[in-house]
Amino acid sequence: MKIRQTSGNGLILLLFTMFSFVFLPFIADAKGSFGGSRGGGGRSFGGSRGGGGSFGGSRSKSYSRPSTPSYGKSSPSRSYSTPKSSFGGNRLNSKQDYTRSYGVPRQSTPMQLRNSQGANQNYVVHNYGGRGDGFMMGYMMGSIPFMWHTPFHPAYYYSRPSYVTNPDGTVEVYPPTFSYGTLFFTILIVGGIIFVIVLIIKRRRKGYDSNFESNSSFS
Amino acid sequence: MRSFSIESNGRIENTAVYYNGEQLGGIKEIFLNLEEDGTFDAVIRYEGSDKNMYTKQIFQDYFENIKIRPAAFDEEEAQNLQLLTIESDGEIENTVVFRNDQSLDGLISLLVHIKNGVAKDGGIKALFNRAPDTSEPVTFRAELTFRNDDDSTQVEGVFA
Repeated sequence: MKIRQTSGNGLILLLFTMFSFVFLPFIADAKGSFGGSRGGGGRSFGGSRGGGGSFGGSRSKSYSRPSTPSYGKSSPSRSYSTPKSSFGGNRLNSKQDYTRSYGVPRQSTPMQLRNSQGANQNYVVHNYGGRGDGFMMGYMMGSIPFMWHTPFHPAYYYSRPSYVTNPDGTVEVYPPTFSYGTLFFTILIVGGIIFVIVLIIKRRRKGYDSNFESNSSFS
Repeated sequence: MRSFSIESNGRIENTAVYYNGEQLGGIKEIFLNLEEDGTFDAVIRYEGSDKNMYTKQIFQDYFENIKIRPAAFDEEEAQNLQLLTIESDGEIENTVVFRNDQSLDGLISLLVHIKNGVAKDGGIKALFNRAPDTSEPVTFRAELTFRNDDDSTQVEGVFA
């Protein structure tokens, strides 16, 4: 009976941990996130496009996919996929891949950043008004705090920014998206670890060195 | 004369052992083999308060470092249990056996063997088991053999 209670307490703690991990990213930052509404009346990624949200930047021109495959050609823009490294992030074939899922960006801002080889690279940064915008800028600046790689920071649950390389060499950048898979596996692993630790602590506290916790004289 | 009692319902987790009225703890094995021909084996093996294992003759030896624990069963719980009491000085001629406080006569033999399985050390798997693993099965045997008036013998379980 006591063991069952121990397992029950562990299960409650596991559920609490899962609950915390689900809502921690949303509580940690008061700004709107992908799943919620933002204070300025803007859209979230899943919403339909409204009247506002396009101010302050120049809208990107429509992009037509190259008719011929780009592999085999020397494409200078290929190495500019990220400012600091070629690794990480999602490479999209076209911006339609992204806008099909998340809608038209609220704001598109052209900017010029220095890439890893020291050359200037033109970027078109698309903002959707969610938390991912902040993370996107962080990734683009190349300053990624260590906390972003830990489950205690909301950025951990977001993907890397998505990049689309245009034929003219400019790179379109789309904000990170929330990764439910990362959240699920983090809950699974962290919850499991906590569950085992709690079990060990409970057993030691009870002095579980005997076979029976009952009224028996035998142990 | 010493008094040694076993109160149980046939399950080792519901078995209390009393020695001169005090409930013992840390017991690993009890073996009682008393026969009318003079056989008198009464051995207890227990883990003492100093974590050492001891093997003692129940009615002759001093129980060194024996663990004494508070009485486990209240009066209501005890109603569902059988109580076997042996009062003896170590000689079969001076041995009286009681079952539920009633003295027995016509006994040919008494055999009690209760042994707790040896617990494994544990590991990760043991954390998720409600009951600990044992490498040996639990032994619980308690029989009384009576001689009837027609010289026939009858074996009765004590705690069943």
